[in-house]
Amino acid sequence: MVPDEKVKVMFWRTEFYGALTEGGTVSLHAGKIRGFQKLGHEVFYVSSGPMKLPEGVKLYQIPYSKLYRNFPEVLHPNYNSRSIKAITKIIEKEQPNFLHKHHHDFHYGGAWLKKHLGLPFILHVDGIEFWVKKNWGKLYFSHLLRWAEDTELESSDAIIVISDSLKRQLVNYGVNGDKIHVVPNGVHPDQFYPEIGDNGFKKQLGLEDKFIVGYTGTFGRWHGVEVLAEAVKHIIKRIPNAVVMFVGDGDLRPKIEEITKRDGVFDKILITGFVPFTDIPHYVSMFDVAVSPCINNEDNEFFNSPVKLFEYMAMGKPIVASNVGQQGIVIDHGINGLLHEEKQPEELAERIFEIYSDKDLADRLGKEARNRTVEKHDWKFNAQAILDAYKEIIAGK
Amino acid sequence: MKLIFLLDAKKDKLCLAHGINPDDAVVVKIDDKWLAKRKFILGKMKEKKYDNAYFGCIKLDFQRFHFFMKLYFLFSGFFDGAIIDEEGKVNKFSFVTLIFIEIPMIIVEAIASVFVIIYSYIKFPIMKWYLTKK
Repeated sequence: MVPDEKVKVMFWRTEFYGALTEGGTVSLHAGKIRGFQKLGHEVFYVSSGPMKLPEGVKLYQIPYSKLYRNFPEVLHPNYNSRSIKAITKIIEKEQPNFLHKHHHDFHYGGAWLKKHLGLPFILHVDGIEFWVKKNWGKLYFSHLLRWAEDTELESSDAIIVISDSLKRQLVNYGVNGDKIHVVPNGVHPDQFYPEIGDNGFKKQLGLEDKFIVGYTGTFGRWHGVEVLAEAVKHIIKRIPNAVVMFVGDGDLRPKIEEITKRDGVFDKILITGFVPFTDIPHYVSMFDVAVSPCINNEDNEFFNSPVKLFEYMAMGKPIVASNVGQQGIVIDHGINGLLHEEKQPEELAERIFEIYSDKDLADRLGKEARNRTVEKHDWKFNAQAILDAYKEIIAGK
Repeated sequence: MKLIFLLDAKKDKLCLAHGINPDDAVVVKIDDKWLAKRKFILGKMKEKKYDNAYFGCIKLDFQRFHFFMKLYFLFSGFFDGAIIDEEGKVNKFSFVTLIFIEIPMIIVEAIASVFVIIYSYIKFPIMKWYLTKK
């Protein structure tokens, strides 16, 4: 294989996600795939359900069995043989150069394909499933989970992680650090750009004269939405015409509602629910300040790489982000955004007020954020890093 | 007034697909994990005197835990309740299907699940050894 030859990449998503075609994983995969396309490579996608994919990407679905739908986790171990059998036929037909698999629980299919078909295997890991289940969900069949996870982590030729802290965690977990590549998430600056406009949403929502503090994303554990909810009363105290907009949905929605009702500011927030990915730039366009108040996990460091941060940056928005994990690296305080200490709603409100009261600062932060995105955080750089990992694998064979 | 538990689905799409007036529907957003919270779900169902209750999802074929949703209809007395999706498909509660199809099927699923787990506890460590050996 000549390293600069065009390649065909197989993306494989094995989790059961129902029919949900919006949210973080969808943005992540669509972003990476378009990154490969921009570089002139071909991608096809194999998944357990429907997916919204960029144009020109073939989707193969390998559905879960309909028998195992009522008891927790049982459907996952059973999916191994079913999906491996089906994907082998797809590989025979498509002949990909390598596999890019998103790591999920109870699945060892990547290791199997590497062993039996000799397919180079790159594993994208955005969390150690054993840790995630133990701390954020419910851990059933822990030995099965651990065996499958260890198999994939050990067998993979290269592992792509989204942050330095996750790399450290994997090394502590026993994974060989030499094969772990840190590739933070990204954005497409031609999809998210300042001139895109709000598509009339601001008028539709009756927010024309408001100062909009905005958040996009899933309301999950590490996103810190409850910190933003706690900050609403402080924001309103300083900026009476502010509205805090939560674009998204998730587990913590009731918590946001409870906090803002308790503080008597429920009428100052707007929760949109999930919106189509293509509408997100228009929503972000409305924001006067964009926030990402992520928090550390209870017993370990924040290990994510929030896509929202890069989307805000690409939109040229002044950003207020918590100083945790990779956010503290991407955001240079006072240069391309402002940082606040995690879980400090008053400080978050204070930073928002700084931007509200200094238009020059807001403009300067936004412009620099946009510049850095174009220079460093385009998804095509992310795709290139995966290709580099692939070239290393080929060179080592 | 109707009660809709929304599982990732969109209220407007569901209402349009099933001819429900959105102004006549109370929506409770949940996800799959919330279905295990018996007190919460039954509490909501009994909170007010609703005309009917629904679980709304994106696609019926991709929605888990149908059996437990049917049990909620049974225990809350919503015998006209249904699981509905954004494409207009309906899985209605019925005593006949519950007794003659769904209960036998859940027994089959439970037995098959036990076998899957036992088999996996034998297979996974072997696969780990086999797939990771140099």
